[in-house]
Amino acid sequence: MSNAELITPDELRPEQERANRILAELDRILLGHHEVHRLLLIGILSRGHILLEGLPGVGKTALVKALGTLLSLDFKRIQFTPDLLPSDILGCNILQLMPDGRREMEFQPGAIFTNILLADEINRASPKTQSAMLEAMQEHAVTLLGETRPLPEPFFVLASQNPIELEGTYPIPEAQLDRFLFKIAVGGVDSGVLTEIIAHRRRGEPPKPEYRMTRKELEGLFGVMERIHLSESVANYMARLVAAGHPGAPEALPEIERFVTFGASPRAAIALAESARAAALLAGRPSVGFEDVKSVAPAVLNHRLILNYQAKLEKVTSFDLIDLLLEKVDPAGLKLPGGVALEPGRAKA
Amino acid sequence: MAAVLLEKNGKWNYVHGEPEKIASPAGGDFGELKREYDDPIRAAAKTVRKLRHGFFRMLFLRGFLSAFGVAAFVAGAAVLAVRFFAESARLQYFAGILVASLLASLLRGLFYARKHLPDSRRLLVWLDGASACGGLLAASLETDPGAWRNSIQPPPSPRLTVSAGRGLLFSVIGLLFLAGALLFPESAVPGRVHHTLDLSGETAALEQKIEVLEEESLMPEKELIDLKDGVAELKEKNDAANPAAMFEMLDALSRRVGMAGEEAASRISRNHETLQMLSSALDTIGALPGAQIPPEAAAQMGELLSKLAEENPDLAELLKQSGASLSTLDPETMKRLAEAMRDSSGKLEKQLAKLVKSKLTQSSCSKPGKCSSSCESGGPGGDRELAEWLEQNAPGADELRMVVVACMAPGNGGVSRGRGDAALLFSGETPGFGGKEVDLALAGENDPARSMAVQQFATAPNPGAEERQAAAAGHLRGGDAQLDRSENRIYPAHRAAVERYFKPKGERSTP
Repeated sequence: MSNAELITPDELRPEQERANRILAELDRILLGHHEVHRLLLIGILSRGHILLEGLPGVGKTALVKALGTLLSLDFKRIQFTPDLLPSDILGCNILQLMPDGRREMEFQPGAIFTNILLADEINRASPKTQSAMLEAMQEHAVTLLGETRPLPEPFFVLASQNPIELEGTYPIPEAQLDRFLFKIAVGGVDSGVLTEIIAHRRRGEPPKPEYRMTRKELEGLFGVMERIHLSESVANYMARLVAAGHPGAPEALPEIERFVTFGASPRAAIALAESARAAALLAGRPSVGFEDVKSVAPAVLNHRLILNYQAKLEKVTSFDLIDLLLEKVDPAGLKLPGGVALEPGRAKA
Repeated sequence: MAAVLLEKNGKWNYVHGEPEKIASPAGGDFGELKREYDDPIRAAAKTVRKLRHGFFRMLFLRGFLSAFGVAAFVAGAAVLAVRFFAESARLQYFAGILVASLLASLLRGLFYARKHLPDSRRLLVWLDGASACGGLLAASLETDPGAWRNSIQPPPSPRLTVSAGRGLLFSVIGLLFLAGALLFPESAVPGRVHHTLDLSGETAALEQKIEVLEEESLMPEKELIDLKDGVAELKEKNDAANPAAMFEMLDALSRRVGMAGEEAASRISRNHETLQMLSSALDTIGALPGAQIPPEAAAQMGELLSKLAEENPDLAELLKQSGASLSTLDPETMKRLAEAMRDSSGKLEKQLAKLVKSKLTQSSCSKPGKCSSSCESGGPGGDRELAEWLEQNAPGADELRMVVVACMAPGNGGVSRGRGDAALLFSGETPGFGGKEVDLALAGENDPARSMAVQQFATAPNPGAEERQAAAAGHLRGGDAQLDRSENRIYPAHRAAVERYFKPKGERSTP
């Protein structure tokens, strides 16, 4: 939303090619999940944390590993269990014998001190342990015994959770859930992809990456992200989209009033803007378009709309409501009277 | 695809194709790139303008229809209210209601269109979203797209659909209601105020005519009262619900008044003619020396006056006022009577003019005598007419006729009159004094003995052979030379020719 000149094609195209190369590498390493890869890359470019939801064995961990490798970032994995303690994640002070014979408390950093942290089956840890990551996810810093320690940049949490084994699990608190930029459902793959995996990958081992992005190149990508233009009209659309998801809001749809308890937070609108920028970059555009917003909105909003029991009874999902929002909220905010409709024209062949 | 204006050999031409290829043509013979013709942003702005126009029209129609439904209901109710409560349901009221409702609907349409017409920025943003322009159109509102301009695909024109919906339905129902209200028969309105026909002009004219007839005492009083009552009844019974009966009454009254007027005019004309004739006759007799007035003629004149006075009360009154003794008419009395008759005749002329002015009689009858067939004979007062009149009114009064009709000789008529019944009295009838003319038949057509000299005149002397020889020899006749005499004669042949011209075949005296 500035009057600054748009980034030129010459500046944008190399960065777009680099980002798409990463995407292509991900598609090559892990078959059949292009949209997941795209959203994952968008999340990384947006510097957001991502919650991956899917059945065991669909390649969540492999995906995160591959991403870490491709981006030349440090990668650590924590298997969340019910007895996992915050100190296991964040680190703790340990009494150490100094060379001069004195004993001192020395900080032992936890697994969170990395660039990419894979929080595997995050919902198996207790809320106390889950909440230990709140500050880290938001502030990119850890405070222990009154001392704040910054985390390495960039810092991403890629968490996974199993949607079916609910016994012995702890639902992620809403406050923590809101800190995830995306919640991406990682589904299964079709038989063709499975055949490809079985036939060409010994024990399912993915192929070695053929391309690795340097840290400098990643910084360049982040820099270009800052220059992607977000027009006021598109920003207004995103704001209206988020506002319309709030029951009680003037713009709220009747379905939202009926099925939603809480709508998305302002953080969701920010997440929407950032991820739309990244989507525009991937598409090679200097400005955020409405289609970019629409492409990332389900991933941004699905875990932020808190549905009520009525929705569960009627088997209405947050994705259904988001689709409805995208359909009903007009990008331009045209308030046409009833009975007046404007339909896109057909492009000439 | 774009069209770019390029200079080639000093001329500017539009070149269609891909912008990059046009900008750097392979041939290299293109000159300076002047400006882009199909700028996608300009094209989008044009599309937006067209879209807004379409929006305005559609919204106006929608607003108009929705308002027109209500306006038609209100107008229908107003029309019914006028029908039920207004003193007179005139067409102007209905026209006013219709115009007002139409104007209100038009205004509502305008306001509705203005209120809901989307602004250009929003429409451009909408186009961006609808045609997947990647936010570049929206961004172009804030910053220059620069090098990205050519990557924008010109958005296709969107389709605008407006459903009239209930507005159309209400309009149709409202229109039907309005039509029903307009066509609602006034006779079905209970307790409707009595409507009258506007007959004020006609009745006023009638009253004026009756007044003229009354002023001039041209009608019996009873008939006058009857006519006045008729007009009053027409005014009282005036009912617009039954126009045929009203106009029938009016026509009957007009006919009666008209007939009375024509009768009066005819009577005046006759009286006028009588007075004219009598005054003319009396003038003629009165102009003669008393000794030359044949006693028979004076007696016949007195008889004629008595007879006419019996038939004509006005004349009787006139004679009574003059105090003249009709049995012994002397020249003085005759002159006095003639003068009195002329005066009375003048009054009749004025009376007739008044009738014409008030349209009680035809304007062609404005002069006395014109309404009767006597007009054909050259108007009153002429000798011929007087003779005819005397023949009709005083048959056998030959002496009187001889005295007063001095110019009854044949040939006194004018050529312009054409054929008429004038008696061809060829045989030298003269306004004689007691003699009676007899028609004589000539023996032959060219018999000089049966010819008649009608004119004699002197001519220059006609020299004979002897005189001519003497003249040639130089012997001239001087002052003793006498004039020759010449005459014009009419032979029977001439009479036949005259008859052929003036008389029908069976009535001719000559073959």
